[in-house]
Amino acid sequence: MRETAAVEAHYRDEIPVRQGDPFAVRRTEAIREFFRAGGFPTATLEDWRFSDLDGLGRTAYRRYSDVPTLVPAQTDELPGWVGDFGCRVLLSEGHPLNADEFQNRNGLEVGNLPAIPAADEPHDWGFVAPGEEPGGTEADLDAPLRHPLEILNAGLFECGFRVRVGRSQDAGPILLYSLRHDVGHPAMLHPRSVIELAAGSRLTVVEAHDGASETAGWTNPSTLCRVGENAELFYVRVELESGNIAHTGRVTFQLARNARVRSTVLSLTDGKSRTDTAAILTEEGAEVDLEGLFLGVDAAKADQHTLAIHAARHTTSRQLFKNVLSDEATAVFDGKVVVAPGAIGTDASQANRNLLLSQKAAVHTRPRLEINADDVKCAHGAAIGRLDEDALFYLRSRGLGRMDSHEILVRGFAGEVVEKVPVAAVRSLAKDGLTRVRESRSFAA
Amino acid sequence: MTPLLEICGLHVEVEGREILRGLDLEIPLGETHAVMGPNGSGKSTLAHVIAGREGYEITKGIIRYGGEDVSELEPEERARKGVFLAFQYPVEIPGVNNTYFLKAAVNEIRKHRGQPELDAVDFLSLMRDRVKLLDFDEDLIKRPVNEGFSGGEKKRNEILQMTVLEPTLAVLDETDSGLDIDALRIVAEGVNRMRSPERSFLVITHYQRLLNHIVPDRVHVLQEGRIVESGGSGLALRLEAEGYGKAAAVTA
Ligand SMILES: Nc1ncnc2c1ncn2[C@@H]1O[C@H](COP(=O)(O)OP(=O)(O)OP(=O)(O)O)[C@@H](O)[C@H]1O
Ligand SMILES: [Mg+2]
Repeated sequence: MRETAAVEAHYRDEIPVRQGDPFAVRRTEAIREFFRAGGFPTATLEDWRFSDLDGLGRTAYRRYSDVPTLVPAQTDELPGWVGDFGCRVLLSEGHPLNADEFQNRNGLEVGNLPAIPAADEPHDWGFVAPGEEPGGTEADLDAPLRHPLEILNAGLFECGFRVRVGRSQDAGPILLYSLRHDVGHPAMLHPRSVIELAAGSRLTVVEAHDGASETAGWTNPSTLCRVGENAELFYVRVELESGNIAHTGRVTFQLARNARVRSTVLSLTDGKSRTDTAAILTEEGAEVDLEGLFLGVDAAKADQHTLAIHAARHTTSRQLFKNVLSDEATAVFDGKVVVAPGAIGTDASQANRNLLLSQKAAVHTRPRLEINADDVKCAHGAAIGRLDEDALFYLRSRGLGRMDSHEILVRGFAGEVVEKVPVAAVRSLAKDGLTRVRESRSFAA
Repeated sequence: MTPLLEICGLHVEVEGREILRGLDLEIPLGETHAVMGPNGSGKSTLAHVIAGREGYEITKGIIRYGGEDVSELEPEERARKGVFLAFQYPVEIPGVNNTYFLKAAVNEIRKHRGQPELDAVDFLSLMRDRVKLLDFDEDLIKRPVNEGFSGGEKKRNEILQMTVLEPTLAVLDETDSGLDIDALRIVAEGVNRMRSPERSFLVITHYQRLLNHIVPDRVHVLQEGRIVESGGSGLALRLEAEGYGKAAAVTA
């Protein structure tokens, strides 16, 4: 007990203190709420069976100092692909490097969250009021926002970002790039972003988390996307962190009438990650595609949790999560579809496909369907397999080498997700990931 | 002159079961031979073992290609030396584009022959030419390899690949099955156009019909893992009339 109190005190001390922070009160409440609800989730909880965060709780992570490791003049140290984006928000240790570059163009507005006028209700930033209980048998629309690490992020976020696209505007692609460095002590980072699309607008956004660390590190980003009536969002998330960094991230989409979201999560990390993707289809005609690809080498682990809440009639969700696993890589897929009472005409599908390239790679997959309405179409399927021997022989019989044939088949498998990403720079990051798979110990062994 | 393909006393086991039991076959360069035989007699096994499929264990005998023992060579090494197999059941490969795959294969083989690689433009014009000759649907070559192709389209795609890769020994495993009458004629013409003193064919079929179009130099009957009878193109006609029972009786 005293131990928990000490951990709580530690995190309370880590709350960033800023002059005139409109969220100051909310931050303290969030920390209290996080610990009151049980603190760091452990494997004894169903939702956390494969991602025990007990270890995170035992490490005294501290936030980075307020001075970013990179200074604006050093942006040329950033990877080349970042330069492909005309509009970008570059963060080092959670601090913006190029605040002066943010422009309002094509109705796009990029801003710093703590600098938001206090007139904006905190609820607008995706905060759930503390202690709010889910309502009765109706679908719990705030469930994704009540995620324990979401609440912790609300208490600890450094500089949040807000991206807004005006009515009927067509904006993007925009890059939110967060880079972290090893500063010699266990450091944590809690980026927070809110993306809002007004009615009829369109946006392509890429959120990338990068950095390497030998010292234990922890990144816990939260992203909330509100997609207005008839608006269309392409969201791409790239997890690039390497070394000893634990990643626990969330992205939540709220869709209004006839809104459309295509989301792709690319896990290219060689560390451990847990990502929760949630879509709340609040009004008729909303449609979401949630896709993911994990290219796992060495002891990498990606735990993907998804949640699609159909809260209105005639809404559609399609999920496709693919894993390529070499060496001792582990993938978890836990996909949930909730159809609220009265959400007739729901069309939901879910697929998890796994390609195992090694005897030691492992997959845990679990579909969960909660259907409380009639006249609903719900399909789900999971497949775990190795490379098709017939296909390998077919390619080799045409003169293609063994390694090349393996690679062509792996690329073909991954391509179903990669080729749909509307940003060339991201597709080439996926190619780099495939090269790492080819160079992994177990490849074609 | 040494034959292009020379198989002597070949025994092959698949998953512990002996399928080929002392098979002898010689195909001189420039000749076209047909192999006929009942279901399950080992025709596709022979085709696969020539192409070098893993898991087909040669327990006895030898396969020489161009005078060289190739039984230890990988399938890609044989392909680069000019061996081509048109599959009885072509494999669907989702996510792998037909054109991309074939360009990679052509260039791999050209590299081995010491020829410069074809760039995108040269390759496309080569493809266009072959596609036209075979009356192949242009849209199909843009799709993933064989994915969703009809049975006949898959077979035609095999022949398209053959005409692009220009092998020295082409083994056609029941390429005629699944083809309509017109397609059969087009495919046969494609094969006939490629016949030359520098190239040999091994045509596996159940039907005399195909051999009306591709007239073979020799016909062999494969039964229970061995060649039990060989003859001129007339043998196919006799088999069509009498069935395989007679052939077996002859050698019994
Ligand atoms: N992988 C395998 N494992 C076990 N038996 C096999 C395998 N592959 C082929 N066989 C067996 O070997 C025998 C010969 O098969 P093969 O495919 O060569 O026949 P085929 O002459 O081509 O027949 P068809 O005319 O039907 O195409 C069959 O009895 C078949 O069941
Ligand atoms: Mg056969």
